[in-house]
Amino acid sequence: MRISLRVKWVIYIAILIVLSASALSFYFIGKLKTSEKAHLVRQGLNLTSNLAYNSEYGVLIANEEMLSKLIQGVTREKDVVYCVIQDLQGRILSSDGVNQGHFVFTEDFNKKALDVKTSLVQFYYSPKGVGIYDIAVPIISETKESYADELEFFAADQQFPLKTESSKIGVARVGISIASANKRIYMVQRTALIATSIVIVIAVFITYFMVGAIVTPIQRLVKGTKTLAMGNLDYRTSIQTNDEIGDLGKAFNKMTKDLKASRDELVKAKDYANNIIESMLDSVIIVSPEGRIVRVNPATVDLLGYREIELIGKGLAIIFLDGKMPFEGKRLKALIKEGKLGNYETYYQAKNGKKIPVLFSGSVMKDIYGSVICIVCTARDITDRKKTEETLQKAYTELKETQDQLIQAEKMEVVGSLASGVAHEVKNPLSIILQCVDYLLEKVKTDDKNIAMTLGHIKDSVKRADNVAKGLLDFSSLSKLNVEEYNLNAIAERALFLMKHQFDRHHIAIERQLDNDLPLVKVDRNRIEQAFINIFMNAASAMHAGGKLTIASYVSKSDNEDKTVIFHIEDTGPGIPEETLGKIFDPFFTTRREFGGTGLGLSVVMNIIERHNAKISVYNRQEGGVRVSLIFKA
Amino acid sequence: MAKRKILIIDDEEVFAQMVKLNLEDTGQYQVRVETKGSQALATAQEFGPDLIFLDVIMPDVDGGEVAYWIERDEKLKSVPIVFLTAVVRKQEETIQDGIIAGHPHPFIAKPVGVKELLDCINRCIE
Repeated sequence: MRISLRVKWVIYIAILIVLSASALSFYFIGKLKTSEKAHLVRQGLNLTSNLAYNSEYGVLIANEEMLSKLIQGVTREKDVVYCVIQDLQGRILSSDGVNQGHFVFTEDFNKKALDVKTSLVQFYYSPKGVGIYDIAVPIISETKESYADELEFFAADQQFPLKTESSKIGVARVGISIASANKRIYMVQRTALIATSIVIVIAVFITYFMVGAIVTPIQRLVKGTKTLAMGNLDYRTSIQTNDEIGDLGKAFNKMTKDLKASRDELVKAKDYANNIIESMLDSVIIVSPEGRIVRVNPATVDLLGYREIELIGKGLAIIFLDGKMPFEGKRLKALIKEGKLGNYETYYQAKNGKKIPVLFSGSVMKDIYGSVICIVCTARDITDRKKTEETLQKAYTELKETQDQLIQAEKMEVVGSLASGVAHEVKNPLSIILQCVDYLLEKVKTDDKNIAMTLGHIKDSVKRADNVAKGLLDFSSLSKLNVEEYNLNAIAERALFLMKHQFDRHHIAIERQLDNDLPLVKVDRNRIEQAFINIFMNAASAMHAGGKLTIASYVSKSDNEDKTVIFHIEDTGPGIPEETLGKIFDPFFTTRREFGGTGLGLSVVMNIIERHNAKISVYNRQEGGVRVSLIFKA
Repeated sequence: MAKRKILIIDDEEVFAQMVKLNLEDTGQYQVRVETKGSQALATAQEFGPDLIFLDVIMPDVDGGEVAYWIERDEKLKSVPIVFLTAVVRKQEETIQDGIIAGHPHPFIAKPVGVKELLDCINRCIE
C-alpha cells in the first residue's frame, strides 16, 4: 500500500509527540508523586509531632477529655483519616476516625509503631483500598526541663543537676490518606493528557500544512517530470518560493529549458541531415548488412512508384530489374572490402515493371570497429541520357546507312553505266544474230535436222545472252527512284495481272489476302512492280508442275509507333535447299541456268527493296514451300 | 494489193539490212533503210512509209528527236512509229511500258525476231 508523504510525516510527528509527551509526563508526574508524598509525610510528621508534644501533659495526667480535644483538632486537618494516642502498652488512650475502617494494624505493624524512637512512617493500604501513611511519633515526657520554671525552687534546694531527663510515655499516631494527593496527581495527568492531545492535534495540523508546503512543490515537480517524460519540453513549474524548494523549481525549469535547447539542437541537426537525404534528387536507399531496405528517400519513391512501406524491410533485389543486383557474390565482397562501388550502370525496375536505367553507387558505412552498419545506395536516373545516347546512336546508324547508301549509289552508278553500255553493245549484235537466224530458218529448207537444231540452239543462246543483258540493264536503271505515294496492293495486283499468262500456263492458283485499308507508301511504282514480278517469277518457276501462290498484306505497328506494311508471298513449291539459302541474293547465283536463269532476279529485288528502306526476308515454310516477306515503312 | 512501205531508221546497218531482208522476204513489204538520224525526216518525206521502225540511240540525232519532227510533219504525222532499242539508258528512264514520254508509240526491245516484228506491224497498221 502506498502511503503518501504527507500521511507518513503526520504519523511520524504524532508518534514523536506522543513519545516525548509520555516521557515528559512520566518524568514530571513521577516527580509530582514524590513531592506530593514528601509533602504529605512532612505534613503528617508536623501534625503528629505537634500532637505528641501537646498531648504530653494529657497522657501524664491521663486526661482523656483533653486528649480527645487535641485529637479532634488534628483529625479536622486535611487528609487526616484517623488519629490515635496510645500508651506504651498499646492501649488506646484516645482516638478519632478509627472506626472509618482505615485503622487496621497487624501486630508487627503496631509493635514497630510502639517502638518508635523519633518518628516512624509506615505505608499500607486500608481495607478500603486507600493508600495511608501511618505516622508514629513518641510522646516524650521531659519533666525537668519542661517544668524547670515551675520547679525551680526544687532544683535550687536539692542541688538537682539540670539534666534533661526524657522518657517515652506514649505514641501519637496519625493516618494520612493519599487519596486527595492521588486525585491531584490524576488531575495533573489528565491535564497533561489533554494538553498532549491538543498539541498532537495542532502538531498534526501544522505538520500537515508544513509537509504540504514541501510536498505540493514536489508533486508539481513530479507532474512536471511526467509531462517532460511525455515529451512536452515547454512545461515550466510554478514554484516561486524563495527557499530550497524554490531553487529546486528554478533548477528544474532551467534543466527543462536546457533539455529543450539541446533537444532542439539535436532535432535540428537530425532534420538537417534528414533534409539533405529527403531533398536529394537522386534515389537514396539505406540497406542493412543483411540486405534489407531500411530507409528510402522521396526521390526513390517517385522513381520506382512504390510506397515507402512497400519497400521497408524488403530485400534490395526487389528494385532491380529481374531481381539482378549489381553486387552479388564476388562484387558484394569487393564492395564490402573496398567500401564502395561507384557509377555502375544498371537497371532498376519500377513497381509497374518499367525498366529504369540508373547510374548506381553503393557505399558501406562502418562503425569504428569496422563492422558494417549499413550500405548506402544512391542511384541516378539516366533515362534521358540513355535516350540521348540512343538517339545519337540511331543518328549515327542512319548517317552510316546514308553514307553506305551513297557509296552504294555511286557504285551502282558506275556499275549501271557500265552495264547499260555493255548491254547496248551486246544487244545490237544479238539483234543481228537473231535476224540472221530467222532469215536462215526461213531460207534453208533441208532435210538435215541438225541444221534446224543448230539454228534453234543459236536462237536459244541469243535469248539467254539477252536475259543477262536485261538483268544488267535492270541494275543500271536502279540509281534513281521516282518516288510517289502508292497503294502497294494496286502495284501487286498489276504485277499479278502481268504474270497471269505465266501462272495460267503452270496451273498456279492465286489466293489473295489483301488488307483493303493499307496506308499509302512512298515507292517507285515500276521498281516495286518489277520486284513483285521477279518474286512471282521465282514462285512460278518453283511450281512449274502447278501449285498455289498466296499473297497477303497487312498493317503492323512496330515498337516505335511507326506503321509498317507487310506482304507475304508464299508458294507451295519444294522450298530452297538450306545450303543455298544464304546465296539467293548474290548476283548471278542461280539454280536454273539451264532454264534461262540469269541469277539476277532476286539480287535486283534486293536492290530495289533496300533502295526503298524496306526489308526482305526469304525462308522455307514449315508446311513446305517458300515465304517471301516484304516490310515497308508507311 | 500494194506492198506496205516500212522505213527502218537505225544506225546499226547490218541489223537494218537483215530486218529489210526478212521483211521483204515475206513479199508483203517494201522496206527502206536509213542509218542516219539526221537524214531520217528527209528520207521519210521522200519514201512515204506506212510504218516507221525507229532506233532510239543513234550517234547524230536520236530517235526521240526524229519522232518529234515526224510527228510535226503534215504528211507523216499520221504514220505509226515503233521504237526499237537495245537499251534503256539512264537518261531514258521515262521509257516505260513501251512508251517514250511525250511520244505515245509502241516500243520493242532488241533483240527482236522476225515473228515479233510482223506481229507488231500487223497490230499497228491494221
